[in-house]
Amino acid sequence: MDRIMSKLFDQGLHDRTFFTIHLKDGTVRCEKEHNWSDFSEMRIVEYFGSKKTVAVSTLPILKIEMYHEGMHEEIDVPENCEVYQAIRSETFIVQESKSQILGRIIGIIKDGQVIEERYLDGTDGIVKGMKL
Amino acid sequence: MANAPILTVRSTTSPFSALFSIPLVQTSPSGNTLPVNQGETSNATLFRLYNNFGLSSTIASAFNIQITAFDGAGSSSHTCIGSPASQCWLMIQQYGFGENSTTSPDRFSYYLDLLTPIGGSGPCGSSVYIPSIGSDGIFGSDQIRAYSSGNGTGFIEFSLEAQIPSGAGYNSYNPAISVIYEWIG
Repeated sequence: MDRIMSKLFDQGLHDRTFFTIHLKDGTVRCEKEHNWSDFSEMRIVEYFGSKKTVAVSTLPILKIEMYHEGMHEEIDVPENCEVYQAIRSETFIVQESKSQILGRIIGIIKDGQVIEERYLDGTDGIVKGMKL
Repeated sequence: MANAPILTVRSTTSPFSALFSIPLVQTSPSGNTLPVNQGETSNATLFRLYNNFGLSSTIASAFNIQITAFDGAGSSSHTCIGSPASQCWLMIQQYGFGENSTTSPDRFSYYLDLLTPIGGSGPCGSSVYIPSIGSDGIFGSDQIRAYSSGNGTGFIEFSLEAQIPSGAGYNSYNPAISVIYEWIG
């Protein structure tokens, strides 16, 4: 197993789920070599009438792409907006605790409020989302 | 780099052994375990949901935690055909929280939240419970950290009970409690 695959595998991911971000300085970063936790900060934001904890990128991102189990979504980040992403997982409490990755999330924040979120649902094989 | 959260269900008393089922029963005055009668409520059972009880290194926090119920795991996961899931017989509430760089002392803090039904059928699992306080003790954080370092452990303690409606009849059920959360690597 090469170094990149090993990194994803050790984190509990696999090569069929990863983000790619396009920065304003022209560089491109992929989850296969970069960790979102290295350039993000946790924040509680307004989320369609309630609140949500998100890991917001501290880097200026032009576009974010997300790949998950054959699905692909990309969002061009509007001016004065920020970006977050996350892995959604599930653990069942029965017989023994087992965890599985359900899907991937990408979202856009403006003025402390989520204005768009897309969920690549690996269980249903479709992309779901909400937008203000 | 952070690795995926390692969530396990454990006892609330030392040595916090892993639990492989959460029986929902009633207890007779003499201490015998009995099934739950229709129209009545089971004993409340306490359990802890730990992140990184095994003290691995660089473990991510599990945030945006939502708890619901389905018919079971495996092939029954995400279905709500059975009454416990579809009619929200299961009720859960946060009972406490804690974190530490080691598993003992557990630094438990008590917090009793609102008892909430979980499960539902419109769609399946739509009735969810969101903890009010995270393992870090912050109100509204709804997360379980692996301590502040990512190398320790954190937990939220819950109280679970089953409220069986009148006319439920005689049946045996094994619903599954689902914990959905988000994390970053």
